[in-house]
Amino acid sequence: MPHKHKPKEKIFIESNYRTNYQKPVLSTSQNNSTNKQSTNPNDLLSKEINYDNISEIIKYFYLLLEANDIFRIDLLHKKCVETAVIKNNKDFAEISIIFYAIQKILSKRHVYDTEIWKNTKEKLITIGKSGIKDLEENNFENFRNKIITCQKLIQDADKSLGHFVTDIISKARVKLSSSAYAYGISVSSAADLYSVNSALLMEYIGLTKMSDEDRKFKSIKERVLILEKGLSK
Amino acid sequence: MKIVFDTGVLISFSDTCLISILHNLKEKFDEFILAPAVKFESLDKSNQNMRFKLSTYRIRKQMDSLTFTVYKGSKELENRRNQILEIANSLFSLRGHDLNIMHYGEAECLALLSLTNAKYLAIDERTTRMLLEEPNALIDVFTRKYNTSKISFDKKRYNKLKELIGEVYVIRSSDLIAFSYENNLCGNAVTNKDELKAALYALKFSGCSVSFEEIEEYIGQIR
Repeated sequence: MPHKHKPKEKIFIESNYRTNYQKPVLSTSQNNSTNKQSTNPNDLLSKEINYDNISEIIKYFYLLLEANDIFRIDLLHKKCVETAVIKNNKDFAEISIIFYAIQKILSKRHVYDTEIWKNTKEKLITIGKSGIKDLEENNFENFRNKIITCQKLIQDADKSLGHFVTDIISKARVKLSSSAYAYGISVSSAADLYSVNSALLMEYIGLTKMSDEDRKFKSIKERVLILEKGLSK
Repeated sequence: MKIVFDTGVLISFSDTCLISILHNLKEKFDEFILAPAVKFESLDKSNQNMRFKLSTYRIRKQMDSLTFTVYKGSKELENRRNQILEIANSLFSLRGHDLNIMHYGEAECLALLSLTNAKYLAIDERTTRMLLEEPNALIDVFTRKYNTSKISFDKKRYNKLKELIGEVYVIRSSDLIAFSYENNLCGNAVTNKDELKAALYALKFSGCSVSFEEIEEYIGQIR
Protein backbone atom coordinates (compact mmCIF):
# COMPACT_ATOMS: atom_id res chain seq x y z
CA MET A 1 0.00 0.00 0.00
CA PRO A 2 1.66 3.29 -1.09
CA HIS A 3 2.33 5.69 1.74
CA LYS A 4 0.22 8.86 1.55
CA HIS A 5 2.15 12.04 2.12
CA LYS A 6 0.34 14.72 4.07
CA PRO A 7 0.99 18.30 2.98
CA LYS A 8 3.75 19.69 5.21
CA GLU A 9 2.61 21.89 8.07
CA LYS A 10 4.03 25.33 8.43
CA ILE A 11 5.99 25.79 11.65
CA PHE A 12 5.81 29.20 13.25
CA ILE A 13 8.51 30.22 15.67
CA GLU A 14 8.24 33.33 17.82
CA SER A 15 11.53 35.13 17.83
CA ASN A 16 12.68 36.40 21.20
CA TYR A 17 14.04 39.65 19.86
CA ARG A 18 12.75 42.21 17.43
CA THR A 19 13.16 41.44 13.80
CA ASN A 20 11.46 42.72 10.73
CA TYR A 21 9.66 39.41 10.43
CA GLN A 22 6.59 39.06 12.58
CA LYS A 23 6.07 35.35 12.12
CA PRO A 24 8.93 33.79 10.27
CA VAL A 25 8.09 30.55 8.54
CA LEU A 26 10.53 27.73 9.13
CA SER A 27 8.72 25.46 6.80
CA THR A 28 10.12 23.08 4.29
CA SER A 29 9.84 23.57 0.57
CA GLN A 30 6.79 25.57 -0.49
CA ASN A 31 6.20 23.29 -3.47
CA ASN A 32 2.93 23.82 -5.28
CA SER A 33 2.78 20.14 -6.07
CA THR A 34 1.95 19.17 -2.55
CA ASN A 35 3.33 15.70 -2.21
CA LYS A 36 6.62 16.19 -4.04
CA GLN A 37 9.73 15.71 -1.89
CA SER A 38 12.49 18.20 -2.68
CA THR A 39 15.78 16.67 -3.78
CA ASN A 40 17.77 19.86 -3.19
CA PRO A 41 18.66 20.21 0.52
CA ASN A 42 18.74 24.00 0.13
CA ASP A 43 14.98 23.88 -0.46
CA LEU A 44 14.66 23.08 3.23
CA LEU A 45 15.92 26.53 4.14
CA SER A 46 13.49 29.40 4.40
CA LYS A 47 12.70 31.06 1.10
CA GLU A 48 11.98 34.39 2.77
CA ILE A 49 15.63 35.10 3.50
CA ASN A 50 17.99 36.92 1.19
CA TYR A 51 21.08 34.72 1.49
CA ASP A 52 23.31 37.46 0.13
CA ASN A 53 22.44 39.62 3.14
CA ILE A 54 24.46 38.79 6.26
CA SER A 55 22.08 40.58 8.59
CA GLU A 56 19.11 38.47 7.44
CA ILE A 57 21.18 35.30 7.63
CA ILE A 58 22.18 36.02 11.23
CA LYS A 59 18.59 36.76 12.25
CA TYR A 60 17.48 33.50 10.66
CA PHE A 61 20.32 31.67 12.40
CA TYR A 62 19.13 32.84 15.81
CA LEU A 63 15.67 31.52 15.07
CA LEU A 64 17.18 28.16 14.19
CA LEU A 65 19.35 28.26 17.32
CA GLU A 66 16.32 28.87 19.51
CA ALA A 67 14.64 25.92 17.86
CA ASN A 68 17.82 23.78 18.18
CA ASP A 69 17.39 23.07 14.47
CA ILE A 70 20.77 21.41 13.86
CA PHE A 71 19.83 20.25 10.39
CA ARG A 72 19.01 23.70 9.06
CA ILE A 73 21.97 25.31 10.82
CA ASP A 74 24.11 22.76 8.98
CA LEU A 75 22.51 23.74 5.66
CA LEU A 76 22.93 27.40 6.52
CA HIS A 77 26.65 27.07 7.20
CA LYS A 78 27.10 25.34 3.83
CA LYS A 79 25.20 28.12 2.11
CA CYS A 80 27.51 30.67 3.72
CA VAL A 81 30.61 28.74 2.58
CA GLU A 82 29.30 28.81 -0.97
CA THR A 83 28.60 32.53 -0.79
CA ALA A 84 32.02 33.18 0.78
CA VAL A 85 33.67 31.44 -2.18
CA ILE A 86 31.54 33.07 -4.89
CA LYS A 87 32.00 36.56 -3.45
CA ASN A 88 35.48 35.94 -1.99
CA ASN A 89 34.06 37.41 1.19
CA LYS A 90 35.67 36.79 4.59
CA ASP A 91 32.62 37.94 6.57
CA PHE A 92 30.58 35.08 5.16
CA ALA A 93 33.52 32.74 5.80
CA GLU A 94 33.78 33.83 9.45
CA ILE A 95 30.07 33.48 10.20
CA SER A 96 30.01 30.05 8.53
CA ILE A 97 32.63 29.03 11.12
CA ILE A 98 30.32 30.12 13.95
CA PHE A 99 27.33 28.30 12.46
CA TYR A 100 29.32 25.13 11.88
CA ALA A 101 30.82 25.19 15.37
CA ILE A 102 27.44 25.71 17.02
CA GLN A 103 25.85 22.98 14.97
CA LYS A 104 28.62 20.65 16.17
CA ILE A 105 28.13 21.69 19.77
CA LEU A 106 24.39 21.15 19.57
CA SER A 107 25.07 17.56 18.56
CA LYS A 108 27.18 16.95 21.68
CA ARG A 109 24.95 16.39 24.62
CA HIS A 110 27.82 16.51 27.09
CA VAL A 111 28.38 20.12 25.99
CA TYR A 112 25.00 21.68 25.26
CA ASP A 113 23.36 20.36 28.44
CA THR A 114 25.85 22.22 30.62
CA GLU A 115 25.52 25.57 32.36
CA ILE A 116 28.68 26.74 30.62
CA TRP A 117 27.06 26.31 27.22
CA LYS A 118 23.74 27.83 28.33
CA ASN A 119 25.58 30.94 29.54
CA THR A 120 27.62 31.04 26.33
CA LYS A 121 24.48 30.80 24.23
CA GLU A 122 22.89 33.73 26.05
CA LYS A 123 25.99 35.84 25.48
CA LEU A 124 26.05 34.83 21.81
CA ILE A 125 22.46 35.95 21.38
CA THR A 126 23.16 39.31 23.08
CA ILE A 127 26.27 39.93 20.99
CA GLY A 128 24.43 38.77 17.89
CA LYS A 129 21.66 41.36 18.37
CA SER A 130 24.26 44.05 18.79
CA GLY A 131 26.16 42.78 15.72
CA ILE A 132 23.04 43.02 13.59
CA LYS A 133 22.61 46.62 14.76
CA ASP A 134 26.23 47.36 13.75
CA LEU A 135 25.52 45.98 10.28
CA GLU A 136 22.42 48.09 9.92
CA GLU A 137 24.48 51.15 10.86
CA ASN A 138 27.27 50.08 8.44
CA ASN A 139 29.66 49.78 11.35
CA PHE A 140 31.58 46.88 9.86
CA GLU A 141 34.60 47.11 12.14
CA ASN A 142 32.42 46.67 15.23
CA PHE A 143 30.55 43.85 13.53
CA ARG A 144 33.78 42.02 12.73
CA ASN A 145 35.02 42.48 16.29
CA LYS A 146 31.80 40.88 17.48
CA ILE A 147 32.32 37.91 15.17
CA ILE A 148 35.73 37.44 16.78
CA THR A 149 34.19 37.74 20.24
CA CYS A 150 31.56 35.12 19.39
CA GLN A 151 34.21 32.77 18.07
CA LYS A 152 36.26 33.29 21.24
CA LEU A 153 33.23 32.51 23.42
CA ILE A 154 32.59 29.27 21.54
CA GLN A 155 36.28 28.41 21.66
CA ASP A 156 36.43 28.94 25.43
CA ALA A 157 33.31 26.87 26.00
CA ASP A 158 34.69 24.08 23.86
CA LYS A 159 38.12 24.20 25.50
CA SER A 160 36.64 23.76 28.95
CA LEU A 161 34.18 21.07 27.89
CA GLY A 162 35.78 19.31 24.94
CA HIS A 163 38.16 16.37 24.85
CA PHE A 164 40.63 17.51 22.21
CA VAL A 165 43.72 19.70 22.09
CA THR A 166 42.41 21.45 19.00
CA ASP A 167 39.27 23.45 19.74
CA ILE A 168 36.15 23.46 17.63
CA ILE A 169 36.76 26.86 16.01
CA SER A 170 40.22 25.85 14.78
CA LYS A 171 38.83 22.57 13.48
CA ALA A 172 35.97 24.43 11.81
CA ARG A 173 38.43 26.69 9.99
CA VAL A 174 40.28 23.75 8.47
CA LYS A 175 37.13 21.80 7.62
CA LEU A 176 35.41 24.76 5.98
CA SER A 177 38.52 25.80 4.07
CA SER A 178 38.49 22.26 2.67
CA SER A 179 34.85 22.79 1.72
CA ALA A 180 35.86 26.02 0.00
CA TYR A 181 38.60 24.14 -1.89
CA ALA A 182 35.97 21.61 -2.97
CA TYR A 183 34.19 24.51 -4.70
CA GLY A 184 37.13 24.74 -7.08
CA ILE A 185 39.32 27.50 -5.69
CA SER A 186 43.02 26.86 -5.09
CA VAL A 187 44.49 25.63 -1.80
CA SER A 188 46.09 28.99 -1.05
CA SER A 189 42.86 30.85 -1.85
CA ALA A 190 40.85 28.53 0.42
CA ALA A 191 43.48 28.77 3.17
CA ASP A 192 43.50 32.56 2.94
CA LEU A 193 39.68 32.80 2.97
CA TYR A 194 39.53 30.88 6.23
CA SER A 195 42.85 32.08 7.68
CA VAL A 196 44.37 28.62 8.00
CA ASN A 197 47.83 27.26 7.41
CA SER A 198 48.12 25.69 3.91
CA ALA A 199 49.91 22.69 5.37
CA LEU A 200 46.98 21.96 7.71
CA LEU A 201 44.56 22.30 4.82
CA MET A 202 46.61 20.00 2.56
CA GLU A 203 46.67 17.39 5.31
CA TYR A 204 42.89 17.56 5.63
CA ILE A 205 42.30 17.48 1.87
CA GLY A 206 44.46 14.37 1.64
CA LEU A 207 41.89 12.53 3.72
CA THR A 208 38.95 13.46 1.48
CA LYS A 209 37.74 11.79 -1.69
CA MET A 210 38.09 14.90 -3.86
CA SER A 211 41.01 13.59 -5.94
CA ASP A 212 39.14 10.37 -6.58
CA GLU A 213 36.05 12.18 -7.84
CA ASP A 214 37.81 14.53 -10.26
CA ARG A 215 38.14 13.90 -13.96
CA LYS A 216 41.44 12.18 -14.87
CA PHE A 217 43.54 13.31 -17.77
CA LYS A 218 47.25 12.52 -17.45
CA SER A 219 48.37 9.46 -15.50
CA ILE A 220 51.44 9.18 -13.27
CA LYS A 221 53.24 7.24 -16.01
CA GLU A 222 52.44 9.86 -18.64
CA ARG A 223 53.87 12.59 -16.45
CA VAL A 224 57.00 10.53 -15.73
CA LEU A 225 57.48 10.15 -19.48
CA ILE A 226 57.09 13.92 -19.90
CA LEU A 227 59.95 14.44 -17.45
CA GLU A 228 62.11 11.86 -19.18
CA LYS A 229 61.41 13.37 -22.57
CA GLY A 230 62.35 16.80 -21.25
CA LEU A 231 65.65 15.51 -19.91
CA SER A 232 66.53 13.72 -23.10
CA LYS A 233 66.31 16.94 -25.15
CA MET B 1 65.72 21.71 -17.39
CA LYS B 2 64.13 23.82 -14.64
CA ILE B 3 61.21 23.13 -12.33
CA VAL B 4 59.28 25.76 -10.39
CA PHE B 5 57.97 24.34 -7.13
CA ASP B 6 54.77 25.27 -5.36
CA THR B 7 54.43 25.12 -1.55
CA GLY B 8 52.25 22.01 -1.56
CA VAL B 9 54.91 19.76 -3.09
CA LEU B 10 57.50 20.84 -0.52
CA ILE B 11 55.06 20.22 2.30
CA SER B 12 54.06 16.80 0.92
CA PHE B 13 57.68 15.68 0.59
CA SER B 14 58.63 17.04 3.97
CA ASP B 15 55.68 15.59 5.86
CA THR B 16 56.34 12.13 4.42
CA CYS B 17 60.08 12.29 5.23
CA LEU B 18 60.87 11.98 1.51
CA ILE B 19 62.43 15.40 1.08
CA SER B 20 65.97 14.00 0.82
CA ILE B 21 64.92 12.48 -2.52
CA LEU B 22 64.60 15.99 -3.95
CA HIS B 23 68.30 16.49 -3.26
CA ASN B 24 69.12 13.37 -5.35
CA LEU B 25 66.61 14.39 -8.01
CA LYS B 26 68.19 17.82 -8.35
CA GLU B 27 71.31 16.27 -9.89
CA LYS B 28 69.31 15.41 -12.98
CA PHE B 29 67.94 18.92 -13.41
CA ASP B 30 69.44 22.37 -13.87
CA GLU B 31 67.43 24.19 -11.25
CA PHE B 32 64.66 23.81 -8.71
CA ILE B 33 63.16 27.26 -8.30
CA LEU B 34 61.08 28.69 -5.48
CA ALA B 35 59.05 31.87 -5.67
CA PRO B 36 59.45 34.29 -2.73
CA ALA B 37 55.79 33.65 -1.78
CA VAL B 38 56.45 29.89 -1.66
CA LYS B 39 59.46 30.39 0.60
CA PHE B 40 57.34 32.55 2.87
CA GLU B 41 54.48 30.05 2.94
CA SER B 42 56.58 26.94 3.47
CA LEU B 43 59.20 28.38 5.82
CA ASP B 44 58.50 31.73 7.42
CA LYS B 45 54.79 31.31 8.00
CA SER B 46 54.85 27.65 9.06
CA ASN B 47 57.80 28.27 11.39
CA GLN B 48 55.45 29.90 13.92
CA ASN B 49 53.40 26.74 14.30
CA MET B 50 54.97 23.99 16.43
CA ARG B 51 53.00 21.40 14.51
CA PHE B 52 54.92 22.22 11.32
CA LYS B 53 58.23 23.40 12.72
CA LEU B 54 60.01 20.10 12.03
CA SER B 55 58.79 20.27 8.45
CA THR B 56 60.19 23.79 8.04
CA TYR B 57 63.59 22.61 9.37
CA ARG B 58 63.64 19.84 6.78
CA ILE B 59 62.79 22.24 3.95
CA ARG B 60 65.34 24.78 5.18
CA LYS B 61 68.07 22.12 5.15
CA GLN B 62 67.32 21.45 1.49
CA MET B 63 67.54 25.15 0.76
CA ASP B 64 70.83 25.41 2.61
CA SER B 65 72.24 22.52 0.62
CA LEU B 66 71.35 24.44 -2.54
CA THR B 67 68.70 22.00 -3.71
CA PHE B 68 66.49 25.02 -4.29
CA THR B 69 67.11 28.47 -5.70
CA VAL B 70 64.91 31.12 -4.20
CA TYR B 71 64.10 33.73 -6.82
CA LYS B 72 64.61 37.23 -5.50
CA GLY B 73 61.54 39.40 -5.69
CA SER B 74 61.50 41.97 -8.47
CA LYS B 75 59.17 44.53 -9.98
CA GLU B 76 58.99 42.40 -13.10
CA LEU B 77 57.87 39.36 -11.09
CA GLU B 78 55.33 41.43 -9.22
CA ASN B 79 53.85 42.89 -12.41
CA ARG B 80 53.69 39.52 -14.14
CA ARG B 81 52.13 37.93 -11.06
CA ASN B 82 49.47 40.62 -10.79
CA GLN B 83 48.68 40.32 -14.47
CA ILE B 84 48.25 36.55 -14.19
CA LEU B 85 46.18 36.91 -11.03
CA GLU B 86 43.88 39.47 -12.62
CA ILE B 87 43.25 37.27 -15.64
CA ALA B 88 42.92 33.97 -13.76
CA ASN B 89 40.42 35.46 -11.33
CA SER B 90 38.19 36.74 -14.10
CA LEU B 91 38.06 33.63 -16.27
CA PHE B 92 35.02 32.05 -14.66
CA SER B 93 31.92 33.78 -13.44
CA LEU B 94 28.80 32.68 -11.67
CA ARG B 95 25.72 34.63 -10.53
CA GLY B 96 27.30 37.88 -11.65
CA HIS B 97 30.55 37.31 -9.73
CA ASP B 98 34.02 36.51 -11.02
CA LEU B 99 35.32 33.45 -9.22
CA ASN B 100 38.58 34.14 -7.39
CA ILE B 101 40.16 30.79 -8.00
CA MET B 102 43.82 31.69 -7.61
CA HIS B 103 45.95 33.21 -4.87
CA TYR B 104 49.07 35.35 -5.33
CA GLY B 105 51.32 32.39 -4.33
CA GLU B 106 50.19 30.24 -7.23
CA ALA B 107 50.21 33.25 -9.58
CA GLU B 108 53.79 33.98 -8.57
CA CYS B 109 54.82 30.42 -9.47
CA LEU B 110 53.19 30.82 -12.88
CA ALA B 111 54.88 34.20 -13.37
CA LEU B 112 58.25 32.63 -12.62
CA LEU B 113 57.83 30.04 -15.36
CA SER B 114 58.21 32.53 -18.18
CA LEU B 115 60.68 34.77 -16.32
CA THR B 116 63.09 31.88 -15.69
CA ASN B 117 62.39 29.92 -18.91
CA ALA B 118 61.18 27.01 -16.82
CA LYS B 119 58.70 24.69 -18.47
CA TYR B 120 57.81 22.49 -15.51
CA LEU B 121 55.60 23.33 -12.57
CA ALA B 122 55.55 21.02 -9.56
CA ILE B 123 52.21 21.57 -7.86
CA ASP B 124 49.99 19.24 -5.83
CA GLU B 125 46.77 21.17 -5.70
CA ARG B 126 44.24 20.55 -8.43
CA THR B 127 42.82 23.96 -9.34
CA THR B 128 45.96 25.41 -10.94
CA ARG B 129 46.76 22.07 -12.57
CA MET B 130 43.29 21.76 -14.09
CA LEU B 131 43.36 25.37 -15.19
CA LEU B 132 46.59 24.84 -17.11
CA GLU B 133 45.86 21.41 -18.51
CA GLU B 134 42.11 21.00 -18.81
CA PRO B 135 39.87 23.93 -17.81
CA ASN B 136 36.76 21.91 -18.72
CA ALA B 137 37.60 19.61 -15.81
CA LEU B 138 37.48 22.66 -13.55
CA ILE B 139 34.12 23.66 -15.06
CA ASP B 140 32.92 20.13 -14.19
CA VAL B 141 33.87 20.79 -10.57
CA PHE B 142 32.01 24.11 -10.55
CA THR B 143 28.94 22.56 -12.19
CA ARG B 144 28.88 19.73 -9.68
CA LYS B 145 29.44 21.85 -6.59
CA TYR B 146 27.30 24.87 -7.42
CA ASN B 147 24.58 22.65 -8.85
CA THR B 148 24.30 24.79 -11.96
CA SER B 149 25.47 24.79 -15.54
CA LYS B 150 25.41 28.59 -15.71
CA ILE B 151 29.14 29.06 -15.36
CA SER B 152 30.67 31.38 -17.92
CA PHE B 153 34.20 30.84 -19.13
CA ASP B 154 36.15 33.52 -20.99
CA LYS B 155 38.09 31.56 -23.61
CA LYS B 156 39.75 34.65 -25.04
CA ARG B 157 41.23 35.67 -21.71
CA TYR B 158 42.25 32.09 -21.11
CA ASN B 159 44.28 32.12 -24.32
CA LYS B 160 45.88 35.35 -23.14
CA LEU B 161 46.81 33.65 -19.87
CA LYS B 162 48.39 30.77 -21.74
CA GLU B 163 50.41 33.21 -23.80
CA LEU B 164 51.66 34.95 -20.66
CA ILE B 165 52.70 31.73 -18.97
CA GLY B 166 54.09 29.97 -22.03
CA GLU B 167 54.44 26.26 -22.54
CA VAL B 168 54.16 24.44 -19.20
CA TYR B 169 54.02 20.82 -18.02
CA VAL B 170 52.49 20.12 -14.64
CA ILE B 171 53.87 17.45 -12.34
CA ARG B 172 52.88 16.41 -8.85
CA SER B 173 54.84 15.02 -5.93
CA SER B 174 53.52 11.55 -6.88
CA ASP B 175 55.01 11.90 -10.37
CA LEU B 176 58.34 13.10 -8.96
CA ILE B 177 58.58 10.11 -6.64
CA ALA B 178 57.69 7.75 -9.47
CA PHE B 179 60.33 9.33 -11.71
CA SER B 180 62.91 9.12 -8.91
CA TYR B 181 62.16 5.46 -8.34
CA GLU B 182 62.42 4.58 -12.03
CA ASN B 183 65.76 6.40 -12.20
CA ASN B 184 67.22 4.96 -8.97
CA LEU B 185 67.25 8.31 -7.23
CA CYS B 186 65.37 7.34 -4.08
CA GLY B 187 68.36 6.01 -2.16
CA ASN B 188 67.29 4.15 0.99
CA ALA B 189 64.01 6.04 1.22
CA VAL B 190 62.19 3.85 -1.32
CA THR B 191 63.89 0.61 -2.29
CA ASN B 192 61.15 -1.58 -3.74
CA LYS B 193 57.70 -1.61 -5.29
CA ASP B 194 55.86 -2.00 -1.97
CA GLU B 195 57.71 0.96 -0.49
CA LEU B 196 56.97 2.97 -3.62
CA LYS B 197 53.26 2.20 -3.27
CA ALA B 198 53.39 3.20 0.38
CA ALA B 199 55.18 6.44 -0.54
CA LEU B 200 52.55 7.27 -3.17
CA TYR B 201 49.76 6.67 -0.69
CA ALA B 202 51.56 8.79 1.90
CA LEU B 203 51.85 11.64 -0.59
CA LYS B 204 48.18 11.32 -1.46
CA PHE B 205 47.22 11.50 2.22
CA SER B 206 49.42 14.58 2.56
CA GLY B 207 47.29 16.37 0.01
CA CYS B 208 48.68 15.47 -3.42
CA SER B 209 45.77 15.44 -5.88
CA VAL B 210 46.31 11.89 -7.13
CA SER B 211 43.61 9.23 -6.99
CA PHE B 212 43.78 5.70 -5.62
CA GLU B 213 42.99 4.48 -9.10
CA GLU B 214 46.00 6.31 -10.58
CA ILE B 215 48.31 4.88 -7.94
CA GLU B 216 47.09 1.33 -8.40
CA GLU B 217 47.29 1.66 -12.16
CA TYR B 218 50.87 2.91 -11.97
CA ILE B 219 51.99 0.24 -9.49
CA GLY B 220 50.48 -2.35 -11.79
CA GLN B 221 52.75 -1.08 -14.57
CA ILE B 222 55.93 -1.34 -12.46
CA ARG B 223 58.01 -4.48 -12.60
